[in-house]
Amino acid sequence: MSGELETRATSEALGEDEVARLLRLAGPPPTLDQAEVAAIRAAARDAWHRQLARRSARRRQIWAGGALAASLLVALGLAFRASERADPPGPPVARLELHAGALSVQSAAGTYELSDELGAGSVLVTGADGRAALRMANATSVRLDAGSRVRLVSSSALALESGALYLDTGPHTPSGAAAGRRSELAVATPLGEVTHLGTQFEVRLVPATGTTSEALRVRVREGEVRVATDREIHDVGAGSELRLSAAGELGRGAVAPHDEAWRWAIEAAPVPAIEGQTLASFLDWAAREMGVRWRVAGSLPAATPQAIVLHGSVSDLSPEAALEVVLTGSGLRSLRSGDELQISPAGR
Amino acid sequence: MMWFRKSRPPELRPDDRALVRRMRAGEAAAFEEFFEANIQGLYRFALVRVGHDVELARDISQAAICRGIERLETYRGEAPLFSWLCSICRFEITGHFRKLRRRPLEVELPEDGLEARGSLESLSFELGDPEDQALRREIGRLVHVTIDNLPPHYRSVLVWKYVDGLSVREIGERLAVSVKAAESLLTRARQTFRDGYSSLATLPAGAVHAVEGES
Repeated sequence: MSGELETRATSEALGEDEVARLLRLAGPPPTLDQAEVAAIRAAARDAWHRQLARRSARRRQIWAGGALAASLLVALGLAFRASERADPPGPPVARLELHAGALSVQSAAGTYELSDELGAGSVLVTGADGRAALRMANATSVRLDAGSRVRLVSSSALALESGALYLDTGPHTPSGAAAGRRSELAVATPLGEVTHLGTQFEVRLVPATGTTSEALRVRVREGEVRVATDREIHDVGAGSELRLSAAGELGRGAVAPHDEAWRWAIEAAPVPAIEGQTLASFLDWAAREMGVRWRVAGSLPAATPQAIVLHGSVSDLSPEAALEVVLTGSGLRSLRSGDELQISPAGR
Repeated sequence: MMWFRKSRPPELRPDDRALVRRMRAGEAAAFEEFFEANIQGLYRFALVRVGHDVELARDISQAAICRGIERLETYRGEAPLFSWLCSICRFEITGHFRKLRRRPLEVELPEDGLEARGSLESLSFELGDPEDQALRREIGRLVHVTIDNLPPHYRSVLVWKYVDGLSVREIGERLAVSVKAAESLLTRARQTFRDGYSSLATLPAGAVHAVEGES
């Protein structure tokens, strides 16, 4: 072995020229190409955002548990404020599109005035009569029901601490699902994490009652959602509901896309600008918001909705009121029948 | 013939720990720094351990970096962050083959040894094949392993200088520093590389020249 030791290229033996030769000999290393790196970066960023959301939700859970001990309330409050301050103010991750009733936005610096731009780390709280609609930086529509509290962890991660959220990430396409498209927005809750493929869904934390424990309820209107807890993973498809209690009880049920259960989310929906849009494109939007399909009926030519170009604004109205105004102005009317919206000439 | 480098006592990594703290605080720049510094190295780490199956190596490196992010709170700074990620990558590789009910490929790599993991994490290697082609591949691989374990700024200047062929002045311009500062950085990078490589690959004298001469 001593002979071998003598032949070692030790630190001293590797001079500058030797280092250069070694590096040139080795040449460029095998690498992932740019597209592969971009895909992995997106997956890694997802994982990071989910981790941040979980951490935030855990912190909130600890706070909620501590609140049971009233005598410690003040001390815990101070600890909570300290942990809040540990979060640095983040860049804008969402825009406030619409709100009604009581809504406050809190940050590390305390409660502040409502503004269009909402930064990472902001906490939105709706009152008993409050609702709000946000547009995330990744274009996902997020709506808060009354009595909700949600933290904007990042542009792709939310932490629901109480109440309910409705998310619309855009139309679900089978090709997107088949391609294994990754979730662009994750919702962390104390009882599990909810991710999705392009979809419309509601995540609600149902408070505990005298006879039931707190539960996570996920209703899916379109697309597909995944709920992951520390122990298991559940998939929830369109038209169905999953209920997962803190005690570990699992329940499933059905909820149609046009069920009245979605009414609060419809009422909280911001109406898009219609100037220059065709009636057909407006009907596509309105029908999707209402969970129905539309079709022409009676003597209305099939091409009419595509031929009508809209002018003006209905942004201040609810989706259903906007639909009525637009149809009336177009000389048309609608008739709702189950999951179908029939569009026909007015007066027939 | 097998050589091992002497093990170094574990030391805390303040830079890596600070980076992890910043990531856990939600700092986007820290995520980018973490990702850029580790992903290609992780890919190469996986590549040689899955029989150079590029698609599998890509999937494994993705799984490993995501799993690492999920476990960031368990990182204590006792090993370099990259080495810590490599240990996670090993589990991903083993898990992959377990799912397939297959044994992992029998790949004996010097840097996988427990003793060897102690410092680069420690490195050693065995020249099992006397053929020049095999020697050349092994030298190349060990150079890349050494490079992957260097601090990112050392890694960059060495590759720019000796692989991409940039001059010291061009490196200085790229880093927005003076020529003198670039030269100083290059010197330190070479020294660190030399230490790492020497601890890893104790090559027979003249082996590099012999292999290079045939190219």
